[in-house]
Amino acid sequence: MGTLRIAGKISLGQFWPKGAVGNSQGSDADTVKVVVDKSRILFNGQSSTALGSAYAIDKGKKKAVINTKGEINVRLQGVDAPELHYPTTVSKQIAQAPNGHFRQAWGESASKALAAFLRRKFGNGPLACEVVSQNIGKPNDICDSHGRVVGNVVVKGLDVNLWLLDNGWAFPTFYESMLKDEIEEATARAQQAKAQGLRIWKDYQSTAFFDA
Amino acid sequence: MHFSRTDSGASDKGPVLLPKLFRRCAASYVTHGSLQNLLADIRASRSDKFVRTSDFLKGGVAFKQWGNAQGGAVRAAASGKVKLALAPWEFVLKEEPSTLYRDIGGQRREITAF
Repeated sequence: MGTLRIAGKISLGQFWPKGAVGNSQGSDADTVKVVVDKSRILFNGQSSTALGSAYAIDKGKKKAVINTKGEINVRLQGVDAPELHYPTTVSKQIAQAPNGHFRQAWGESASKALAAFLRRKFGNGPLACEVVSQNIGKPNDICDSHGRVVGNVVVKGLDVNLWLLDNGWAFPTFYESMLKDEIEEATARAQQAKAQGLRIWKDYQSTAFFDA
Repeated sequence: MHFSRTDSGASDKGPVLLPKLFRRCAASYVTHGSLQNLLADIRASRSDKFVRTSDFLKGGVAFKQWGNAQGGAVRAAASGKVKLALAPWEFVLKEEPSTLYRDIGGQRREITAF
């Protein structure tokens, strides 16, 4: 097993609502577009070409890992922020209620807070960053089923994933590819945010409801 | 709430579910017009497999569907509503398989080397 490190840059204009232009709906708080420096994609310190021209098949369609703008979509590992624009895949033929994109409370605030924090701390950008993905055994471990790179985004030593947990902007969500240390650290940070009643934790509900 | 492209500037604070459960609620609501079938929909799904974090950290890999009638993470509450019975950090989810490809000579090839 090894560690993949991808150097790149984050544009702060990508985040909702500023990033909602044309077909783009703008990045939410747990998905970040990173413009990749292809010469600095390293697996265990060695230059890697695994992502060059790589693609996944998502819902039957090819999805390039690095798009034509040189960007990767990074799904922040271990966190799940409130939905900003969730599209159901229910077909029109069987839908019994209006369909479309759905948003949770706190989804807007979380997205705006992340962009505002990064701008305040590091400037208007684009911000140099590193995407770090541990516990990688084979190239198929790099991305999720949607072709998004799964990892932590680090900006000048600040781990964005952990910042979201520390500040109660995202829930912890763990997958089997995570390391024990990563799970334990994320748990501790989320528990502390909950104990302090920060943001989403003030309003957290465990019983299902839906406001159409 | 429905997606709106503009930022109204109003507060978006309010009750919030774990997003994973919210996504299942949205799909069930759109399909049926209510949440009456939510638990049945979740149980019918083959995805959303989980193992308790405490077991996972000890090396456990016995994943089961999270709406499983025997000790699932998502259960019917006494009110009849559907409830996430574990805290968000108390379970680890199984990942959907992912495969990376590259076209070589017009042929799709799985990427196997870094």
